[in-house]
Amino acid sequence: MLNTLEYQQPEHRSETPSRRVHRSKSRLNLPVFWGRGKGSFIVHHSAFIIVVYSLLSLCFAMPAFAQQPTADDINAVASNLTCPTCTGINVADCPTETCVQWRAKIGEMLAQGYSQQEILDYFAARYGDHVLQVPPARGFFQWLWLLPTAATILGLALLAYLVRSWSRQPAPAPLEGEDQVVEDEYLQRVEQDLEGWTE
Amino acid sequence: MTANPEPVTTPPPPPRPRRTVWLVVVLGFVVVFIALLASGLRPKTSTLLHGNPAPDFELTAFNGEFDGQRFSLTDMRGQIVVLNVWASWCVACEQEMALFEQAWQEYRARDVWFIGVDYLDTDTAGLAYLERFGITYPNGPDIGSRIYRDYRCAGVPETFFIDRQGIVQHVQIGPMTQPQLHGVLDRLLEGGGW
Repeated sequence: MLNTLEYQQPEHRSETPSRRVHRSKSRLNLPVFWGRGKGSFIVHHSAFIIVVYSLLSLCFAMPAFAQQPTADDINAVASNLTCPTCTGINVADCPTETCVQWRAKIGEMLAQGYSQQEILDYFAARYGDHVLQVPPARGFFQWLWLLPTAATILGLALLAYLVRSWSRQPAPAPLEGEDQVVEDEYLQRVEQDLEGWTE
Repeated sequence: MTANPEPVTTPPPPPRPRRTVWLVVVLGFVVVFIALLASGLRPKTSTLLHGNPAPDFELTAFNGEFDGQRFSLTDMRGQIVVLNVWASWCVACEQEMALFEQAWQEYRARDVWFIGVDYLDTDTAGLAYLERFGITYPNGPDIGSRIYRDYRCAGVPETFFIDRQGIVQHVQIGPMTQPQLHGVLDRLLEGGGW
């Protein structure tokens, strides 16, 4: 029952199907010769008869048109809801009595023509946002979206900064080789002494 | 021999402001993370409400003579309120429902109000449950699970006894027995706490 929640029906549902059909039929542009000349009364009213006949057919055919949701239809919506009395199991897969009741409610709402999003909005408003499998980006739950995003951006920026700073560091001094010029005065003297000693 | 040249000491470069900014950002991030963790670890037991003002609530009844009537704790100040959180799928709740109805009939004339909060139920199941036990005191759905959350419930059934001043005098986790229920109510009517 939606009355306790004051759930507002979408505007497009305020017009009944039969009313829509009636309006469209009344705009029929019948050929001109149908409504003129002798017997025009009957011919003219044939349009009315057609309209009445169409409406009656529609009324009798309504049960056939009414969509009875299948288990798959119900589960497609129920899989977006979390069992409130279990730990993280979605309503489609949960065998508890609560979820059985919720699936029945989903089936009831689908039969009334509510869309998946409207049903999910109803459950979130009625039982709280925590029953949604995908938390909405509002209230406390917005942190679940903001924090990982902020952490990713921060991590990438930190990585870029470290890579940049490492690439700026001077290359390490090459190991001593034969062509290396020794600029230290003391070392030069040692080198000279050593050269004299070996000779 | 010439004296060794004194080692040339170059002053360390001043810390770059960019580094400080980074440090502040990272620390801020860590602080927010820890704060969120801490908020999650906060104790959630309803017994913490004992002796404290009861959180205000609003509930629209959906059963019997009270169907459509709005109840709030503020409006019921000066009366004793027994707030019972239940659900149709709760087996333990079945033990106390008839008991509450009996007590409601008995204590109604003495300014004691029983309010039933239907938690995580469909209206159809909730109303069928109330009919099954012949419940006549006001009951209504917990829209958005707000009452359950505000009263820090951890399951059903939980019952809160609120005195005339709006203070929670007793919290019952789990089903009640008749002596317990009468004991608490009589004490509250005498003006004492529990």
